[in-house]
Amino acid sequence: MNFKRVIAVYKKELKDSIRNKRVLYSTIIVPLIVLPILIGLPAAYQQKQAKKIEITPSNVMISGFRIPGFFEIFARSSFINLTIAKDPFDALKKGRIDLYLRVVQKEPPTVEIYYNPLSDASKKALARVKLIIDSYNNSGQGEVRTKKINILTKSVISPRVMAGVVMAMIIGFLIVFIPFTGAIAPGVDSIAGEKERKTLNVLLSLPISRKEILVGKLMNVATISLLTSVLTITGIYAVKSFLFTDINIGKIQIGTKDAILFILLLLMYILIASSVVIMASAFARTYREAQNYLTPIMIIIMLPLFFAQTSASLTTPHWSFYIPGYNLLVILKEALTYGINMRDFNSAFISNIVALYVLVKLMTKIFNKAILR
Amino acid sequence: MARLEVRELVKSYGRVRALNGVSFSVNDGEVFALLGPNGAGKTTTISIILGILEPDTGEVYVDGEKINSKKPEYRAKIGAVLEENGIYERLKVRESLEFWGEIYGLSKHEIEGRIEEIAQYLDMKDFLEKKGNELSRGMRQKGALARALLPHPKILILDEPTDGLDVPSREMFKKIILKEKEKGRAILYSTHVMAEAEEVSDRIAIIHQGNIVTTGTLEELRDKFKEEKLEKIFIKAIGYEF
Ligand SMILES: Nc1ncnc2c1ncn2[C@@H]1O[C@H](COP(=O)(O)OP(=O)(O)OP(=O)(O)O)[C@@H](O)[C@H]1O
Ligand SMILES: [Mg+2]
Repeated sequence: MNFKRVIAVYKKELKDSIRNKRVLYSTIIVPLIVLPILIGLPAAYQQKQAKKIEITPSNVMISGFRIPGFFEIFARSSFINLTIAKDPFDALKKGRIDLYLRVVQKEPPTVEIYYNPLSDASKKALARVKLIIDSYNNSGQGEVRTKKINILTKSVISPRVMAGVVMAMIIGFLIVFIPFTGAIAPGVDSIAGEKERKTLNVLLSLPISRKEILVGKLMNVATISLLTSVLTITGIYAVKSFLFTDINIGKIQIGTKDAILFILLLLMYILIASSVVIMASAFARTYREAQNYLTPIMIIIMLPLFFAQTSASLTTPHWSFYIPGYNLLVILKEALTYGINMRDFNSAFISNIVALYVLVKLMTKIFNKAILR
Repeated sequence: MARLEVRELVKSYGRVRALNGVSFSVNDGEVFALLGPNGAGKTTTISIILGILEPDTGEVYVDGEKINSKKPEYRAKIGAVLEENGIYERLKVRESLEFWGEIYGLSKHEIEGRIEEIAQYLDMKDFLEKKGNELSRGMRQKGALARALLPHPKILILDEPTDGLDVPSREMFKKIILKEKEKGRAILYSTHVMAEAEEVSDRIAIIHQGNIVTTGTLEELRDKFKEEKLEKIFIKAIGYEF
């Protein structure tokens, strides 16, 4: 082996790699910018939320029999804020209160504590209240107290809803991600690939309009994307008993109407994802260039998903239904828990229509402008 | 009325002026050669005729009607062999031809009939079932010519069709072009090869730096430039001095 020649090859390869934008992207931009953002932002957000919970007093509602001195120990605590809600169970689910204590029996004193396992604030409140009751039980309070207080902890969330939320988190991520990845291979090939293989000019010279070409291509990319999504769901279904060990799969239910509404949104999302990919494909001159454009787009799409993963809350701010892709995930959560709220669905539907309209317009514009020689 | 007419085409790519007022017309039953060196503007002209590119100014008329690149129907009258052969790598040649036939609006039955006729005519029976990525250059070029002939086009546009072909294939292409002319097609033939222009064309336009510097039959050009060989005429026309 001639080492000089090896070095010559090495130097040439290195030069080639350094000038290759893809290598640049994966060795510099991904480790230094993309990963820190992808991992750091959601983590920072989570930390901030945790800190906020730590310093904010818990909203607790107490009702039922009066045990002498019981109410007062909470009133005295600076970590507890006693409040009243009309429907405490609903308020607990919606996060308006963090904990609901009901004294169900005087002798022996028994308290039911309702909490929301999907809310960090509620879990914190539960820990606080338990601590206070513990110290009450253990401290000598004179003759006033005769017996220790029994605690019955209860979840306000039914097993079905609980299973639905966890399920939505796990497959919701895939449902948003997979149609997009499924669209990439055929989508990038559809225009950039044809440019690269020099078949597009010929196609354009035939009696067919650019719009017809584009719609035909969009239909194909959406079909492949749909197939990818269906096969992914099938694949997950096949191994479901291994995947979802901590939730009771049998509890999951989805109504027929909700299923139809969800599939409708999924189909729209598949068209949106396909349009985005085709747009990049029309803009690029080569297959690789198109892929390069798509990587940052992928990351932008992933970011809200990462945030969604950090909290399994039941309450969803209404604006999230206006974000195509993300709205699919939150609608799925609704479908698997308390059913789809039509106001939320309408917002998602309308914003998807708008997004699709804008994308198709843009796509056509880019394709018409594309310099094809 | 000319079958195909091009009027005062002007086209720039950024600062590069590719066409500088190109006009000519092609009639039925004639081969009109667009003869010019590399970068003269031949492909740009053809791309504009086919609606692949928009001119900055100028018009194209097919059968006396001004074309609109957004209305693709006029292209059904045109068959074209471009610089790119356009053969699909993952499709069999037959499948590519079937697809193009559908775009040309032919029925399934017509398409199958045409494929058989053309395969016979161009001697491509033995690779009809091969995929694009298994073809030689000559086979691809035949595939492209087959596509152009598929709809019995009134106009045939050929952009350096023999480029990179071996001698027998070139001869075959020339023969086919002359046969097609006999069938009455209006043929626009772009080339930078003098001998080809001399052999197949009825009229010749010499194009240079986006300008048509002269047009005429070979005889007319000989008279005009007082030269016998097209090569000499060409050099005089584009103004090279030795
Ligand atoms: N996509 C493009 N971008 C910029 N300039 C271009 C582009 N296509 C062509 N040109 C320029 O336009 C001019 C005419 O090019 P054109 O391809 O029409 O020439 P041609 O006669 O077909 O040449 P050839 O015989 O090499 O095929 C050239 O100067 C070329 O550099
Ligand atoms: Mg050319």
